[in-house]
Amino acid sequence: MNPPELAPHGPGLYVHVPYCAGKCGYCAFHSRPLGLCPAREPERITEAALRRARSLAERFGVREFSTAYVGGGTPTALPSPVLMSLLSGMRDLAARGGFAEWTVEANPESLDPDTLGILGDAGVDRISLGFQGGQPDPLRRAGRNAGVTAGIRALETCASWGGRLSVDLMVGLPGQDPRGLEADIARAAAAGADHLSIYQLTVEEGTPLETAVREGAVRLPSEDEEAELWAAVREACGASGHLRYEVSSWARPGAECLHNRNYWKGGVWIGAGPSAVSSAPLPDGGTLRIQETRDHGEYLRDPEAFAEEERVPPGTAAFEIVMTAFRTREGLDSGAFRSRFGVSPEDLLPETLAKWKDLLESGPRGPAPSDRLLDVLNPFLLDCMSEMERRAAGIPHGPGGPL
Amino acid sequence: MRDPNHIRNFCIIAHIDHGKSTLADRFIQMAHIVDDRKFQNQMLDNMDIERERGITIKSQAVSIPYTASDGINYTLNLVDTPGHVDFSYEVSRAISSCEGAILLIDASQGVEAQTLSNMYMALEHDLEILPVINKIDMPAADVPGVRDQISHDLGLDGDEALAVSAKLGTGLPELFEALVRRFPPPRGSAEKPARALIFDSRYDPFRGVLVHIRVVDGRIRPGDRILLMNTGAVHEVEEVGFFRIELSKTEELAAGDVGYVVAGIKTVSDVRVGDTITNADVPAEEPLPGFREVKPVVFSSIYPMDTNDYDELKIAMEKLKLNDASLIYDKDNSVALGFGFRCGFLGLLHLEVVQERLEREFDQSIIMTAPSVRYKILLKNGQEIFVDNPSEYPDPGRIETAEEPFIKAQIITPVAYVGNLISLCVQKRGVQTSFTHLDEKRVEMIFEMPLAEVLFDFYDKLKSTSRGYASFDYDVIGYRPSELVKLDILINGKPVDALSQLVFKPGAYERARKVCERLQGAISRQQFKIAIQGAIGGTIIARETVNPLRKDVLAKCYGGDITRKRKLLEKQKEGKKRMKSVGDVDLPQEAFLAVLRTNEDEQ
Repeated sequence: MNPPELAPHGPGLYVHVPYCAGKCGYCAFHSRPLGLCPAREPERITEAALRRARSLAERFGVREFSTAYVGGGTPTALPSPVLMSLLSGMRDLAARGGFAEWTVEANPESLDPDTLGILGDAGVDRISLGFQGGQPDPLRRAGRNAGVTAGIRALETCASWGGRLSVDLMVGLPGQDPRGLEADIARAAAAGADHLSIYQLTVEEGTPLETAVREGAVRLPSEDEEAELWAAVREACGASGHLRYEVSSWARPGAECLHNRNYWKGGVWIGAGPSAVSSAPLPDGGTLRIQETRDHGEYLRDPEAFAEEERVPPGTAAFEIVMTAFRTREGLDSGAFRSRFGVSPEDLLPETLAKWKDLLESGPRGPAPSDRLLDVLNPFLLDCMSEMERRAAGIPHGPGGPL
Repeated sequence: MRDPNHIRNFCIIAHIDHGKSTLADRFIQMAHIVDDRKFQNQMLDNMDIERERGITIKSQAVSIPYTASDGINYTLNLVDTPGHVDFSYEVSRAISSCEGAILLIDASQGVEAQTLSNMYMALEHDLEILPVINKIDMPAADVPGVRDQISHDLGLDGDEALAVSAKLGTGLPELFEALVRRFPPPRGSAEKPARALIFDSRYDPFRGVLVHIRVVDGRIRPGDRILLMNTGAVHEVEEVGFFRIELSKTEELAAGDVGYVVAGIKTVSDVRVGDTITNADVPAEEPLPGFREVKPVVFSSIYPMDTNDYDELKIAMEKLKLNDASLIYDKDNSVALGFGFRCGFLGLLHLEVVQERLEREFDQSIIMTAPSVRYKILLKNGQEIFVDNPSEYPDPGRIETAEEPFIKAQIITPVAYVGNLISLCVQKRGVQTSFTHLDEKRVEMIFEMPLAEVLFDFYDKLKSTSRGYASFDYDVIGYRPSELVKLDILINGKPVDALSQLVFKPGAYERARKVCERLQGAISRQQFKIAIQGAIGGTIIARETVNPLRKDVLAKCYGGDITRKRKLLEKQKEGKKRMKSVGDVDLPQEAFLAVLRTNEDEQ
């Protein structure tokens, strides 16, 4: 069954808040403990991010944004006045009538009714809660700082939230119990979550978790144990009415994340704040990608000067669209693909599409993955990559043209 | 004019690892013919593979000037011989170009199988043998014990053996003097028609083929027309010279000399080791004795990992062949692997050397199929054929009888391992023909066994069964009746021709089971279930399954990490390049190796 068709949205505005109460052992995102920052730095960084957002919008020719997302780090860990002025500055960049979707990430420890009030007053209509799970031991062993009690309390707090709610859960924690995972999903659903981000714990390079796993201090679930956990996810999401519409995303029909969907379709978005990424198609079909510096000092001095720009050549950009579109049940938009790259995916990938036909479906606008394919996407994408490299003679792989 | 009385031609013969190359290095160093700074260990082992493995694959030679205690300047020609049974014919040619042999024996290992077989070979060629005990600096050195072995096992005078440490240089001056005193000068006459023995050849990109020779009679000069007496080819000599690490040009090579000839020869395959060079205008009546064609005994096919790289592999094979006259190959093709080459090798080591050189020197990514011996098959219509490639195996209904090559295997071992080694040889279908106590500690055993059984893991097992103490040597002795079947391997129901092999029928079930097991271990999970089957004719005799992949996807992809996710996939794709797609199944290179090493995890 395919999810209902959604209208395309974009451009998107992302603001990265690079602060946390403390760094978790598995996390490789850019963030710094708030307590270790110079006074007023968060305020200056968020102000710089807003200025940068406006300047990037001008460069990209974007007058107004249709979706917004504040991530991190932990945006809700910001001091209230700083959070309020950030949100108010963002609101000025919205289309008339406000953002079609405005999400703010929240961590259980910093989500209280007051913060919810600030978000609601500013016009934020969606919270993404980093709950991660309700089993104390597996979470602690993975290096999670927030306690389970705080998570459960935050879910309860959210029950009074009038907007939309997304809840993050991790699968593959050391010693994680499938029944506990089912209970976590049920708990999130009961708190009103219309959206669940359920993702595999990934051991990232350079994290304390990586060291612990390498040294044998932490044992991750075996392939069989992991399969049981994912079976539990299927079971619980089926019961709560959440459908999987992307590799790591489940939603009740109509509650899919519009902002993320724009990423997966290869749309235009601006990312402001240290380490954030902006992206826009180039006239030749390639992609301009700008990565902000992670260094707060540099960001405060001159974000433009310290940003890294990458011109992704059209052939590579085409693969990236295939890579992200096939992560979604909606699949590829063949028409949009052809008008951007001058060739349809069916002509570019005939062998791969034929080889994988049993795990493919026809989506609303082109080929789409079955639910089963979402689990074994990598080998499919590798076939796509090989075939595209062989056939994409018409799509230049050289340096992209000017914006 | 050199006086032949002041020339000594000698070789060093030894069991592997007894220090032959180190001793050769010392000779070179003490003769000061190479700058100390340019000196590298194992000077004569030119190939990386030789240095790494500590074995000599090609024969080399070097002329060393030496002023003896009698005040006379001598030329000592050291001919370094290959150190492995695969190359025993080359060893015999190198030995026959000398008058003397240093028989080098490790002071702690004592006399081993190759010590004996090499000594017999030297005796066959009437060489004067000088036993030398090496590595006397080692803590486990037992010089008196080895002297006893020399007297008892070898029938030489153990008390006359010199004791040296090639590593430290101990005893070497005495050794130099002994060479001059003990080894006879070359016989033969410079006035007779020219006769020179070819003991090796080497391809030089600038001069073409350098033919390594020992002049027995007469002279060879630039401008001479020379005849290769066994092949009948005629060439004109462009240059002659001596080996002084670098090549040293000279006006003539005369009776007694060891040196090289350049004569416009394009590839080493045009030169046969063991052939005799004479003057085409004033030819000798008879060639030197002992020439024979070297025939490959082990066969395998080489395919490029990526079928598109066939032309590149072809060029690499041609270049390799320039320098390896023993390598024989023909075009081959496989349903699974596309175009490649069927190759013949002198033995498994030779096969490995070729594989490594292709990969390292020529940067080729290759797949080798299971090695096979050459079987003799008598068809019902009376025709006799030889088959070394499973794809050419005739329909069993057409076969009257099959025969396989047998070897005479000589094993020398400490008494303690006799029981285990006999079991090993019997398991490998060996039949014991002799059992001799060399002394109270060591035994010599002779087995007759099929060469095919030695191909796979015999040597490794011999070493592990005897904790490295047993030594082994062999000769091919001819064909014996056998029961042969073709074992096919099916992946998802389709036979993969490159995995087929010819096997001894009573052992086929066991082999099939092991191959399937190892393939299961080597093939990674894919999106569908993979069935691996072993079959004879249409009958499945073994089966293993690789379960489908449950999950292989990158978690969570947000707007900020599209580049990173793509790069992770690109990295995975690089890894996949080392896979061979057969049907829809990706087989890693190791899968093909799995067929070779069937018993590794048995112990």
